[in-house]
Amino acid sequence: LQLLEWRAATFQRGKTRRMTMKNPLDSLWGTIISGLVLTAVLYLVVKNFLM
Amino acid sequence: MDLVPVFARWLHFLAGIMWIGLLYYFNFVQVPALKAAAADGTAGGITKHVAPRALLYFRWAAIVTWLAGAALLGSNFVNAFTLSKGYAAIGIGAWLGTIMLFNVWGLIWPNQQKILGLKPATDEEKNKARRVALLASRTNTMLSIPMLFFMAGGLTHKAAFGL
Repeated sequence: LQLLEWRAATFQRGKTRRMTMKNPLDSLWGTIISGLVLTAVLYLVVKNFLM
Repeated sequence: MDLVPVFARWLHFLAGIMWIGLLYYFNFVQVPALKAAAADGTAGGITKHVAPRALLYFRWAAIVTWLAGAALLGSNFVNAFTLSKGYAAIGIGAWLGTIMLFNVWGLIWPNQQKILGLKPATDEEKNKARRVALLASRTNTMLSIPMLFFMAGGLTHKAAFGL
């Protein structure tokens, strides 16, 4: 029962966190960091799978 | 000597600087400035006199950039867009630029027309248009970072991709 309660509490915390998560594109720094991360991901895809 | 690629590259750079320069102006200067201007009641000057002119050059520069880029690719156009071997890097850049062009004409410009009062819209529609236009513009700013990485390399790309 304790384990179930703990899991329920963890789920609730996760749910709350998801609901308060912000869109990175709402800030300029979030936009720039997203662009840099996307660059790195695409670079790795191109280098390892498409070249 | 084939002069088409020479002029296509030149035009691609000129129009591209105009397009991405104005995109950065909107995101880094105008949006924060409008917030400050709304607080002291001076936003009208920007929305009436600056934004429509900036948007005019912005959206047409996007078209010219894409067309000049297509001319520059020439017979390699299909190879680039199908990410064929040896063309994947420029192909990714071309796809990102194409998505950005769609964002300009399909999302940013139609919604900006409502925001600036060039097209009739209720307050609710204007609020929704503001959100869509902002996110589309921010998406383009985000996409411009990898797009320029993949587009702007010459010989440096060969080293970056281990060629």
